Amino acid sequence: MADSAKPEAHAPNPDIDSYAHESELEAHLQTKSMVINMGPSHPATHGTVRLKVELDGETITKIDPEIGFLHRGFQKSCENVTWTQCLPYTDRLNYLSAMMNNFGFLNAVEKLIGLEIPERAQYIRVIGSELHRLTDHLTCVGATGLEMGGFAPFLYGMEARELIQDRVTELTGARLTTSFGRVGGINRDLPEGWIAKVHKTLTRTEELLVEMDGLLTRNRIFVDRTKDTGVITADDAIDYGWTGPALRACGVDYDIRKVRPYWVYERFDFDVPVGEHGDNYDRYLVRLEEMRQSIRILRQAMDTIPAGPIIVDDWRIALPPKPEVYGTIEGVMAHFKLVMEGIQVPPGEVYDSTEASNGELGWYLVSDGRGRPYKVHVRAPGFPVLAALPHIITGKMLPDLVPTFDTINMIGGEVEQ
Amino acid sequence: MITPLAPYLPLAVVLLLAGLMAMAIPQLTTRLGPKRPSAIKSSPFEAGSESSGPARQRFAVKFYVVALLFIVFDVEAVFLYPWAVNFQALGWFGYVEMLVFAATLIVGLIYVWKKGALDWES
Amino acid sequence: MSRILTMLVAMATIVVALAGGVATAYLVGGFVEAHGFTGASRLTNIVFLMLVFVMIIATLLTLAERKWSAFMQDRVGPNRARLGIPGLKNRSLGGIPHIITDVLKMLTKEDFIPGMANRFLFNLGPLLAFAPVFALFAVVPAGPTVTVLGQKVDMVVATPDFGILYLFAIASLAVYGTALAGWSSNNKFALLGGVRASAQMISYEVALGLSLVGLFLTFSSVQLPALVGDVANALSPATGQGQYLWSTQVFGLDIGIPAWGFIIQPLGFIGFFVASFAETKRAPFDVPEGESEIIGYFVEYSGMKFGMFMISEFVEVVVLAGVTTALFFGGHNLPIFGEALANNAFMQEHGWVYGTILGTVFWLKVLFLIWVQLVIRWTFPRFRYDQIQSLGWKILLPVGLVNVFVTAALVLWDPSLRALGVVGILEIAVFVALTLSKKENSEAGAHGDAHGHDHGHAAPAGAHADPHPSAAGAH
Repeated sequence: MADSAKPEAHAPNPDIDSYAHESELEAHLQTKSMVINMGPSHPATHGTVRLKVELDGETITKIDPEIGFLHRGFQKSCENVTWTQCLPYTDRLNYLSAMMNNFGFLNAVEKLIGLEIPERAQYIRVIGSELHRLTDHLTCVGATGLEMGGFAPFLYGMEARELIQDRVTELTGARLTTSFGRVGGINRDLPEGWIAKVHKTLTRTEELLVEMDGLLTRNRIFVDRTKDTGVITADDAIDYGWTGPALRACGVDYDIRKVRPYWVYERFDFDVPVGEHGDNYDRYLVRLEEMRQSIRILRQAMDTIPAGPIIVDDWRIALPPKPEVYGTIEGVMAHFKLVMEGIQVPPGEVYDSTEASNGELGWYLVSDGRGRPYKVHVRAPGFPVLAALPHIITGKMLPDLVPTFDTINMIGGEVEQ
Repeated sequence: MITPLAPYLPLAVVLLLAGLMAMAIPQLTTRLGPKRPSAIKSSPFEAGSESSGPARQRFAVKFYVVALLFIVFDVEAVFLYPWAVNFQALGWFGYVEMLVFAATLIVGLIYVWKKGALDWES
Repeated sequence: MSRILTMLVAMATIVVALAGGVATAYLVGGFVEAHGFTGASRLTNIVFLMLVFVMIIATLLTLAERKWSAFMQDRVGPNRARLGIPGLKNRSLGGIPHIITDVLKMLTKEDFIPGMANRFLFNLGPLLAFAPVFALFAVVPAGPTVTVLGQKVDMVVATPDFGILYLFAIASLAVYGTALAGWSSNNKFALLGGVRASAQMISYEVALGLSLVGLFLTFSSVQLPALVGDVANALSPATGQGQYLWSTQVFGLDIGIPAWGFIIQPLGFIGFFVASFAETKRAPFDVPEGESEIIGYFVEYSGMKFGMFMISEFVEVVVLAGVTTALFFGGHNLPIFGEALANNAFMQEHGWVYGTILGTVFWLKVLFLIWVQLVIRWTFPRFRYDQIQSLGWKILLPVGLVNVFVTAALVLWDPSLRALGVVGILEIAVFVALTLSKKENSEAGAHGDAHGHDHGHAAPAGAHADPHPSAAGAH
């Protein structure tokens, strides 16, 4: 009883303290914070993620991203199939830039084997990657506009994306899940007349980019909503493990294509846009500029692509040409062994990374030499980015959550694997 | 038929009509639509998750100071209307009078502005 | 090409339909005045103006918005629904059958009330959202007063002494509908929407009230018919927005710059338009809905109850266009040749023809302003609602106050309103200059100097509230 009486002794006493009543007046009315679920089925959570948000008024006091709605056991599935058969699984990591996942995986496998792929194949990989970087960024920038209420930029982005996906379909046979490329090169050469078509598509894309730019970049409402919201410092971003456009928007000039060039990237002339403030507006601008740079790379690559083989001439790795399969015993045997047993990747482990549209897409592969992966681990660029979301948004307002969630562009498929 | 209330008769008819329409139109759905209630359906929508508690709780309304200011300035606007209608008859005298009145309120506005009452994050 | 042709045909149809409607309204009005009782035309005006014109335009607007947004976004827009009538089976008819399918769909949905909702308030929400909005148009004059069949017929439902205050009073009621809908649904998203609606209301309502004071003191009235005014004729001089600031005669026709509200009161016009745009709760002011954030205050509503919120939004667009036309675009007055037309012997003989022409002019102006609203709605992203509050209190309110006293001084100094006109035209010129000014920023973007643009005066477009130099002075 004595304990419970104690706090009252410290409470303001109206008889002796003349200001006591004022503190009572100025005390806020007791309000409860409200817990609200954004997602899994919510317009702003593209991908399926659940954000458990605790609100005080509309200020976010706590946010808890919950992932796992898209978990499909990617790593385990890969362990039960041959190296080549892993490719369709990598498509599903980021449904907007499947080719980058394909090529990133293949690059890591080739590194494990110690294989140099033909030059033309490297060019095609660059072209495919940059096309898919465009679609990914177009979707991200468009969705940023859309979720702030501007529908038009989204549809301009979609128009450009559809055109590019038509080209992707002509190249790979699929719109989204391309499963393109094979260990040692590419399974299919560029179609006839395809390069001219892509040039046309890029011209139209540039026009649409101008439209999106005009609708958003200097739009006062858009600027007010994105500038100084969702800010993260460069140090924090690095601590969280950010990569890609989101990190570059903080002012860190880190792009694997420049830092550690792979394929033929060092032959092309392109700039890496770097932001300053690490806010939503910079992330948006960086993505917008990266699209222009991708178009630059694409044009250079298509103008200078050399002729030649598209896959290594090694029947232990690449399927033999069909006449050989049908006409020679060696061809049949090589084909049979490749299909039934898979590529015999020598035992060992490797980490390799490429610059995917949202950052460093890393692959940690372990092989025990049996033709199937012993372990496949993906370092998804979206995971650290999502992990930093509570750090960025706590204490900010609920409407700021939406543009922030858009510009960090977390992709459900790769985060949850 | 000309009575002082005559201008208001059409207004009364309009308001009545508006109320009747607003009541009648939703009734059509009630009559025409199916009725298949279920427990899941009648639980509040919260983006696909189980609801995390009722919505009827004390909710922090951060803008109540602005709401109070709103009343002050709205009343100011109301004072301006009769002045505006008779303005040309009142001339410069009325102009100065109203300027003094508005100035007191503008001082108040500047005060709350500097005090940060118009900003949310304070 | 065929698209342009279709649009031209559609426009011609609209003009003919409007003229027909106005003519019928005038003739029926004259007929009931002659054969019924004095004031009976006001009751027929209710039918014609509010049920026929406003409601039909609002209904068509549900389609027009989708078609126009499609046009803006390189899409085709709704064209799937077909009428099962021989000959029309394979025609999309510009998507008009979609209106029917939409209504049928909403009518046959389950009328569903969430378990925890407060049933009475839940039902009251849509009622309070729709009824006030519908009643708004009553004080807007849609045509001149003319003599039909020997009787004076005017094209307005009511002319109460308090005039436009009726609009303010009734329009503010609609926010109760939104707030109640949000609260009674017992849904957290809806609650946030309802709270946001109230936050938005207190943000723009003051600016809304202040923006019109300049106009009131210029024309010494709060009644819309007096503000619209009439052109000069043999008996009386021009009044209201019917007068010219400067005019001259060319071949016996009068041309000049009319004293329309947006010329003499550009700041008032922008303040009013922005504030009342916020009242319609459409983008960029759609924070109570905020679809991608909180889904909206009506998230638990279904069927026609949801439809009421939607249609009241469209009715509000029409009413806003009508009120803005009457206040700032000269109502039914022609910009030029107005006096020549009014004093034409044939027109004086056949009052209903004169009324029909000017009434059609009014509705065409309304359609133009509706179009402006559609373009704005599909161009801008959404505000954050504390930004609306800043806009209302830190920009529109000081600008409104300055505008009132500057206008008052100019009116006293020069009662012919020409000084006001000169200042107004200068203000418009400044707006245009600010909007067209383009700052090179591609270079800045390329090298990441993202914040290099001028933040203060980068106006996205003319219709958007722009911090005007005088506002900067008032800060």
